Amino acid sequence: MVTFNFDQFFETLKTGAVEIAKAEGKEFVKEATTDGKEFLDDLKDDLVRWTKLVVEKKLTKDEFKFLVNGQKDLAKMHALTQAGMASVRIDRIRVAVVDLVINAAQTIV
Amino acid sequence: MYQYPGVRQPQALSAGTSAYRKTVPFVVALSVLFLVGCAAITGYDPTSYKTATDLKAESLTLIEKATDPPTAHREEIDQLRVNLRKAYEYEKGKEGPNHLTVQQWKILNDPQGNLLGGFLRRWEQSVNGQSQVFIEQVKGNIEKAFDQIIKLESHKVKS
Repeated sequence: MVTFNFDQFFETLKTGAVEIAKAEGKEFVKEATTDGKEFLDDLKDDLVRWTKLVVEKKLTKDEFKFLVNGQKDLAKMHALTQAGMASVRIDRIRVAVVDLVINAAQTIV
Repeated sequence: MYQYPGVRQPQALSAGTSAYRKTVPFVVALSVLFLVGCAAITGYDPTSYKTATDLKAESLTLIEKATDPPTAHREEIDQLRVNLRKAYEYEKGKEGPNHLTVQQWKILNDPQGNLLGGFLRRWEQSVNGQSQVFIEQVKGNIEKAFDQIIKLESHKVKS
């Protein structure tokens, strides 16, 4: 008679879940770092260009202020995207763990 | 290990027994229900994606006309506002956690802000329209703002 070991079953799931979380976490950090760097580089380029346009009197100070404040709004939207991407990663882990549970169950039932 | 008197020790579940056949699927179903039941963010929605990309194109096209006096484009401005409001209400009305996307639309549309809503208000308050140089620069900000909404939507989990 074959004995089913729940502890072993859950240990397998736990190890699998940790591996999935590690992989997703690593990928997220990589993406967030690249994305954050690109955002700051863009911001720097824009500020340099706008300052030059103000000096050349092609942009008014009021227009410059609107653009800089627009960057502040944009930074908030960027932060919301990053928070959303983290939530998406959590959901991906959840889906992967569901698959793991189902696959593990299929091997023992 | 100390055995408490009168307390029955749990029996190992053996494959083929009735308890085994009942317990394993129950535990698995419970785990799956628990994991599926509490998503951190709403899933990918093709309607949301299309709305955001369509509105991006519509907005940028209208912004390019902002060198004209606003009176020449009153209807287009009003129509764009209606479409932006529809997109916001659609996201707000979704079931499940969607507050991040809702907040993004709110920032983009805010008439007191400095992205699309603020630009439309500024244009409407002017007499002769906006300068070409300013339009080119502001277009970049608004384009990036739409891209943030589109990026978040496109990364959501597809069911």
